[in-house]
Amino acid sequence: MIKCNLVGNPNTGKTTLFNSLTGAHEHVGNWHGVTVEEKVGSFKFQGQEIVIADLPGIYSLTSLSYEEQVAIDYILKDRDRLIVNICDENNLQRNLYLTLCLLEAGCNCILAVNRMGKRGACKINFSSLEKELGCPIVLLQADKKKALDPLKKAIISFKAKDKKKLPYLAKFDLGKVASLQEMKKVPEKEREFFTLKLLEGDGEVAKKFGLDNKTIPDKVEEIAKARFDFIDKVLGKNISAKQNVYGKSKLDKIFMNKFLALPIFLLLLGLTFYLTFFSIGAWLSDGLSFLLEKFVGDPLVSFLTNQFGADSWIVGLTSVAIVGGLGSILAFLPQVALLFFFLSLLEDSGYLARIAFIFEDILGKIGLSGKSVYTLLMGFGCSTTAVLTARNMDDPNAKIKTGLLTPYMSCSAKFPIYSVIGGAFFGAKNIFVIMGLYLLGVVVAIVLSYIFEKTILKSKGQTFILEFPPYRMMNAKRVFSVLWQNCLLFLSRVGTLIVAMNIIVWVLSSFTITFSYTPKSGGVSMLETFGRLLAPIFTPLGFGSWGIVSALIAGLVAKEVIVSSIGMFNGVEGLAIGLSLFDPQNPVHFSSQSAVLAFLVFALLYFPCLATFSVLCKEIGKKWACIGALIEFVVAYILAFVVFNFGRAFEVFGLWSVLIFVGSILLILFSVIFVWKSVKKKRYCPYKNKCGKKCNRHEK
Amino acid sequence: MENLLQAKIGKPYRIAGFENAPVKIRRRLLELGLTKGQKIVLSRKSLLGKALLVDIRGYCLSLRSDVAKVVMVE
Repeated sequence: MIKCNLVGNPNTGKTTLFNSLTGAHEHVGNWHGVTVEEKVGSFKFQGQEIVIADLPGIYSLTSLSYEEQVAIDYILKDRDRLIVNICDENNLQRNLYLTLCLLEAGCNCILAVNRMGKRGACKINFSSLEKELGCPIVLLQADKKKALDPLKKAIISFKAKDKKKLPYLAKFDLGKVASLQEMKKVPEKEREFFTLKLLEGDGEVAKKFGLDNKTIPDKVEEIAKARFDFIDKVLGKNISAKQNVYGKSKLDKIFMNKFLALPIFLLLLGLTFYLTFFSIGAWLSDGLSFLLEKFVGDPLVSFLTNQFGADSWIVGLTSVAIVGGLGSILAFLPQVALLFFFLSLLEDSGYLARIAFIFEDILGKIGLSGKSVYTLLMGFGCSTTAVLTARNMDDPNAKIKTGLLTPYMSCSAKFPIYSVIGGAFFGAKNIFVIMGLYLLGVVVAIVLSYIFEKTILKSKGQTFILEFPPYRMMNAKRVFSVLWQNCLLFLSRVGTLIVAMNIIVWVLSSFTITFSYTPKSGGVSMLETFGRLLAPIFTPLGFGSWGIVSALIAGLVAKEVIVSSIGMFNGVEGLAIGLSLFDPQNPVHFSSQSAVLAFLVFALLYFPCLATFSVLCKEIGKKWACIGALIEFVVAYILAFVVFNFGRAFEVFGLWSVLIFVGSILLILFSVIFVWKSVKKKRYCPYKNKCGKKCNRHEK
Repeated sequence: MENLLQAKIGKPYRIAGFENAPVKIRRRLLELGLTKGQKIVLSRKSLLGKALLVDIRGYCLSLRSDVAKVVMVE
């Protein structure tokens, strides 16, 4: 059995090569850190078994992040293991830096030059390059399984030979450092390597030997330059024809044009949104739900009804909770698939890097990354599926922030609430109310992100440097593989939770505290009991009637349920729901427009639906998901309170009186602060030079 | 001599060194090929100038402004 490590810069096609060799389906992306843990796979060639480990991308043998350290430790702990060093044909100038580091460390390397996309514009003389570097070179295409035989052959027939001395190392005075007391403990053959690392100022190595970095001269710039000079020399001899700057494209004149960039982006995103949540997505969702009902739901329910009677709780449980739950999962599935499809498209084509660049200005300030934009914007469709797309973000804090903020993007399930309830009270002006609500969500999200960034969730900032990928045609096989993986994950993880939650809420709304089945015995359901219990909490917000609160509790499962619950409590359906809200006799009613507004604000912001919550638990961890939910509730409560009370003030006292009142209070507040600050300010003191005493008057 | 943030778009420069660069950033920039004397061209700036796109060693690199600030060019 031959063991080897797959090593290379990020974005050189490591994971693609790994998948092609081992038949695995790991996710690939243009984003650093997509390979975060080591992945090990194996394959057979000519009767031999070869085990290969896919390591995170690194730039040299000195790490700047946790992932890189993992890779480097892995390489160094078994120095004799064969290394397949993958390089991008178009980027050899930079990729070879790592190759040199590996060769310096005495590793056994096979250089695999990956042709990604079209043929490079330059010809490379590989045999001569082999001689200069002292390691075998293989040309391949990482995504074409059939083209990998030369590599497999090279792996099997590799013979470790004496390492070629790299000429540029000679000019560094390694002897002086190597003769230090501490270095004598290191075995002879590793001494040179560690000496070099110390000269480079590698903190990890210095720590290991208990050496203070300051006693050793810092030669990192010279060493780097020496390596690159060597690369330039070697490539200069063996490459013909000049190539274009890799990653630059004429298309960027359009996509990153000052005026066109944003409109194009909005257009593409709007298209994605429309296709996922309205046309194809909606059609598939409805289709699947219908099929489920007709071929599974109805037959099952009628069978159970025959067995147990129409008012048995088994029938209710099956038809509403279980089949209903399955139905909603199937309804989500097409959206999940489409979202990931479009995400892969954006990633693979290289466009996502452009988006990240364009939005860096704002996002940097609030601590998010370019990929957050996609997740957040898809949150306007459905937060559950949107949060799933944040899975592969590398910066953990940015990922948490993105996950926490996605629910503030008012999802499509909340729309019926605005249109039915808001529509009843505001009529034509409702469009402004709705726009205001969407805007409020976004503004709150930005403010929160800013606060997070300054306090507890500072972004680690590892993505401050990024290579810009060229535009590329997507690889159908890869896209499909990503889709398949994510859909399966969704069904297994999220699906089970949704059904479980559905069952719980159904039980709450169908059974009394004493667990007797309400449709049969006509008691008060647990939901109603809780609603009545919690209602007083919401009186300051203007909507303290138990029906509203119960509907909100039901809405924890899915926001779509709120409107239908209201209808159920008021005993009406469909279009009559809106009108029923005016009647103070009804369990659900609103006494003023302010109360309605406050309610809408609250519904926009309170807890995320349980599906989203369960996805958040899986993606960002239970702790942060709970913190996020709590913050949402508090923010919702405060804002609803403010809206209701200001609204009532407007209604009772009139717009102008309130504005004047608030304005005067703010004026008084500002004047107080201003006076206070100027008193504290150090004043000019004419005795500055003569007076020996120390006092704050001497400054300025 | 000026830093990368002040450079003109499209004009070829040579890297002169780093100023006030934290150790880690300096090392990463060197590993990416920003060695002394290397030719570098600023190809694009984002709207508010927080992100830059440079051409170096035959490829395209995007940097945040706080990183670009430490790169001195002439």
